[in-house]
Amino acid sequence: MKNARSSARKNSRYEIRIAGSGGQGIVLAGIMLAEAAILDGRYVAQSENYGPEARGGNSISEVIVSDEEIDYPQAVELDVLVALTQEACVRNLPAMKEGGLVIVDSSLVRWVPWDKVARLPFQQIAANTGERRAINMAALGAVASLCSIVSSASLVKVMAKRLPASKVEANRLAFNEALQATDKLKDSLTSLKPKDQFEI
Amino acid sequence: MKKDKEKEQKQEEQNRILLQGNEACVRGALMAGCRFYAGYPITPATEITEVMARELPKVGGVFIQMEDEIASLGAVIGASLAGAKSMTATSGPGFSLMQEHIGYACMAEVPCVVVDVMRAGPSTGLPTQPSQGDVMQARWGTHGDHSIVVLSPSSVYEFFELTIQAFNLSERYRMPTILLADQIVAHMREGIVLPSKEDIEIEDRPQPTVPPEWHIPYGDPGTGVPPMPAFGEGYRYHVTGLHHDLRGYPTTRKEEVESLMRRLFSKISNDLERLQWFDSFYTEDAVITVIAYGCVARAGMQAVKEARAKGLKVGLLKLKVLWPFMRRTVTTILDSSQKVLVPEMNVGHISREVKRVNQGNCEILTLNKIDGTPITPAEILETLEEVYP
Repeated sequence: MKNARSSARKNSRYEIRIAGSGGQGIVLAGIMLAEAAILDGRYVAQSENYGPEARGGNSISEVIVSDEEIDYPQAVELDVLVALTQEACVRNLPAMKEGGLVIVDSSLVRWVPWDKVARLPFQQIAANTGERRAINMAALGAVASLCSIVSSASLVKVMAKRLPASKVEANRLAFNEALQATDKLKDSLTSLKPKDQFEI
Repeated sequence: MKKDKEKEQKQEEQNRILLQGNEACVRGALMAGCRFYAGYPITPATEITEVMARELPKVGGVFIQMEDEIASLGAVIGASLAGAKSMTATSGPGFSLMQEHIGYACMAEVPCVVVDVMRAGPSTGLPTQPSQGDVMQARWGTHGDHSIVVLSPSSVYEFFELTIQAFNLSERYRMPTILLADQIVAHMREGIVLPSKEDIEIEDRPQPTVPPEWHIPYGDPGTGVPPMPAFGEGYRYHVTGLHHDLRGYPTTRKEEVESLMRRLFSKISNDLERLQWFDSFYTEDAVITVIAYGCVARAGMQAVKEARAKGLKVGLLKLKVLWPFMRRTVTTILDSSQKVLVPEMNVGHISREVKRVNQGNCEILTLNKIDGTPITPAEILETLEEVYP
């Protein structure tokens, strides 16, 4: 698999997977991430996989971002995994690229057998805004902080478009809180910066 | 000049919208003029039914959720006879139920579009996992000798584009057209720019130019496709699944049976040149050419690019029309390549056709996967490296 990637294409393809359980807004978060990347002028391919349950079960949403047209639309090796349940974390770690970054909710995911991990209290951040369901937007805040493939301005724009008007404020708050919390963490832990920064 | 180009590019970026394959299919159908949809939801085609239910009434169309897939295609055939461009969408289990009515639409020459988003079978199979197991069913699923057109998209934009073409072909030939998508193409989202309606060519079924009393409902005007007035416009004719004469009445006379069959086949066999739809990449000097369709063509594209980066002379032929099989196009590849690799998510449906048209000059290799997971670029690349001379 490693030698399948030619060096010329190394930095143009970036794969993110958001994983959790049904009801956490996993699929929506992936769609919004993809829409924001389009606003930033990039090519995207988003796909999802979920069980038959409306709540619980396993849910994943993955986004491939590139500065050129995307040939294979499914993830091959993840640059970033966002895991919002313990099970989602363990299940998806085998898909990680070596040196990739794992972002987890610090209270929902306790055990992360990976060396480059950002732990943030997304659930707590969402609860503080009075909108518990904003956990997915909090997670996107961390993605915006740690991954240069998508701008926070575009994500905020997409939020205003995709979410019901009455929920936008709380979600934006959760997004910003998580973004700031992650920025702080990033400064204290330089090793958290993804090795292969996305450059265009 | 440069500024204009930049401006144009920026405009294109702004028009780029994120659409799911199934949503793009609906957009294409509406742009092609579809105004009737009858269906029964089934994963992974459900979004087509969902979005149609929401969007059709907005353009004055009619949506009906039917009791099952047999009734769905029945309603679609009825609506089409009444003059509406009509479609339905389903997946394997529902496609099996529709086979009887597909044959009826072939015999009665009723234009309609049937979307089958393939999932892994047989039977209920793997509802949310991809497959390409319905390729032969799309060709031969309904009984009796017949011709049929089957199109296969490999991206969200192609799903949009080929849906429009499916309507055009079904109207042009007065026959059912099948869109064979797979779960990956149907469920993924990509950013696409939709063309404006003025830039799209839309075909409508031929209309009679003579008054009702002169109209011969199943005569051959030279194209093999008789004019088709809508019911209620004053033209009366008999519609049947039985062999029929020029007036539409049942017949067993061998001359009439043979002439009907010959005319039905001629619609496609006289027009094969217009049905060679494909994309080819790096095929000019390719020692090995990958022939693929649907989501596998995407993996093939990446594998071919990676192989080229390693200095391997390989190419890709992506098929957009599966049936009638593009013998002319494929033969060109078979003549120029030493080997052809046909990766498929079935036990070898299109590879059988490639072998059939091969004149013995070319070695045909297959790569088949039937475990409900997609064929990856790495798997194709590995095979290419293994068999590269």
